[in-house]
Amino acid sequence: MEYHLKIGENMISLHAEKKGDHSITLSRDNCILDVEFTVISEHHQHLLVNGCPLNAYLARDGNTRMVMIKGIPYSIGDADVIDAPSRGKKRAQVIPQEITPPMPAVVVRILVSRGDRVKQGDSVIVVSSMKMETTLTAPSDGSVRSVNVAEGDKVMPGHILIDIDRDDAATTKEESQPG
Amino acid sequence: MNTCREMGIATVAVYSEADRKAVHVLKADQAVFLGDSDPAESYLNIDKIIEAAKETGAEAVHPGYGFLAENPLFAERCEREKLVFIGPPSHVIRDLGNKTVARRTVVAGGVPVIPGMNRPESDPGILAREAENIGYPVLVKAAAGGGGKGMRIVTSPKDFQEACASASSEAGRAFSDGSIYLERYLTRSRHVEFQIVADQHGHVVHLFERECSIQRRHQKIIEETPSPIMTFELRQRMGAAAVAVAKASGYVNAGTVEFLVDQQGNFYFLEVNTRLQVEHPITEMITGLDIVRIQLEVASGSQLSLTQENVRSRGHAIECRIYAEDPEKGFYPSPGKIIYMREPSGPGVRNDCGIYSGFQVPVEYDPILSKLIVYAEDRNQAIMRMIQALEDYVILGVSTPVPFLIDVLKSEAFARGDTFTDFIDTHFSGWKPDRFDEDAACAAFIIDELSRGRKAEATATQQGAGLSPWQTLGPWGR
Repeated sequence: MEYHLKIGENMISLHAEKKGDHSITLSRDNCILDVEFTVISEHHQHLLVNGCPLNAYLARDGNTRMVMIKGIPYSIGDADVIDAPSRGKKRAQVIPQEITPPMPAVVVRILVSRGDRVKQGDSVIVVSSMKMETTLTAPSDGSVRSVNVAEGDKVMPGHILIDIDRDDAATTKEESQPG
Repeated sequence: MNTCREMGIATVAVYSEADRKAVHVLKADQAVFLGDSDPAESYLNIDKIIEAAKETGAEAVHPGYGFLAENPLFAERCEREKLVFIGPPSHVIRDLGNKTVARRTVVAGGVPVIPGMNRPESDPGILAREAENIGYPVLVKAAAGGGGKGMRIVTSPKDFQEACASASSEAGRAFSDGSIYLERYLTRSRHVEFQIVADQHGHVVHLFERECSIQRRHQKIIEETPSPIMTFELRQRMGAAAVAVAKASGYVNAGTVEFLVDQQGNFYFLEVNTRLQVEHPITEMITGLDIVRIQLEVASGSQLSLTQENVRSRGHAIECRIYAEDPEKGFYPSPGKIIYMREPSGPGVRNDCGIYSGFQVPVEYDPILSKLIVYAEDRNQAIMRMIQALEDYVILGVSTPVPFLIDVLKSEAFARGDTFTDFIDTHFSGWKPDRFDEDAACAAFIIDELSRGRKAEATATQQGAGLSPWQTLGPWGR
């Protein structure tokens, strides 16, 4: 069986073949991996990978699986499953004007107001999450079209805090092309 | 709380909305709900905490590490309400808690301080002039600060104003006091602190040092004792200085005197933390003492049974702080739900842990999840033991610095004891983990898919074929 896996930002194609109840062979670019396995629980597998023993721990998070081996986390998803429905949505997210918090946060200070001119990299708003302040900056030169939040507001990733009209609108178009 | 249980003392926890399911609530004999997750409505609300104490008939209050732990108003209120505050008297907290007052007190006691201002200032013009006098890089610090909150390094005058504003606002929210001052920023220094304990009868002893130089965002992430640079002679001098600071300020209970040590081995007073510290367990490991027990005994008026001569240390201890944060993205906080976790264990391994499988890490508070502590005969053994413990530590659901910490502990720079406060920037800037078990991780993924029978179903519906042997097998590996 063929697998197209997305591991972190990389794509990997693998061929998997079951050898028995506790054994599987994976091939990837002519490399063969013999894996004997014991499923201890839904979160824990004991593996012998080409004879080397290791413990893998797993948890499901939506369509991706988090796998931890020797303290190193791997985020893995089946590209056939995750890519199909999310492709359109992803493209929509590449609007370059967004000023949005990277995680749930509280607005601490707003450094610009409507109509202000900003240069790329200028600080426009400060948010705080888990007691850490982060300054969000203007993604490009432009003018502030609107400020959508007030100090003290709780905000989420994806929530556009400040809209900026970009000076070179042509570039915007180019970047929103499907790629 | 564990210490209290050992001593036969009943405990009352207080909690906020976000902490309904927190470990301290589950462990206490009794728990009192304070209010909303916003600290001002709960953990920083003195009235509510005092009320909880009165209601439950508590005799003493242990303020912990954060929130009101170093708030003199809270200590004073406890004193007024005839509750024993497990910490120093309120006036000592006030004097030492204000970094500029502390600097003046310590200078009077003959202990060296970092060049800088001895009073807070709010006028941006005066601050800018002071910064020029001190010379860049300067450190903007909250007068009431601690734990890196309200602190900014400024390397050039153009960033100065925004740094001051942001430091002041962060300090205002964290400590209800936004005043700031400036110090010279010492590059390539070490953070070495001394644990002190003092009773109400004027006895002060120190419990040796802790080196806490490995920091990100001015917060410690790895601490160890003894310090790799410590010599008998330097320990004598710094220990004596720490005791002098305690005596000059009239200190009572457990506290920490922090110093910066430069490359030449000169040390400068930094500040006093007038509370138990996050990293106190490593001192407990090498001395065999329970610092919380000492705190309770001192608070009850007992004399210290320790003398400086009979405090002994043995072996080496290291602590790693495990935060919910992503080391690949600048240690950005990573809140979320702990889907699965597995704690390391074994000889010389202690994990002071505030989470469990299914726990939702709140966005409202500092994202520390646990403190992993190891103890061994010597530094090398302790490093190896910590690496093993980290590799065995599984936390799935939020990002943690575990893979980063493993690489730090495996690094030659750490092994050499080349630990300065710029360690992470110098040696681990732009760090990414070596994902050398990628294939095994893919194998684990596929085995999991197969054992759940998911892929088989998906393929069947897509291809509409019954030809694959996977489908006839059903769930397997169970």
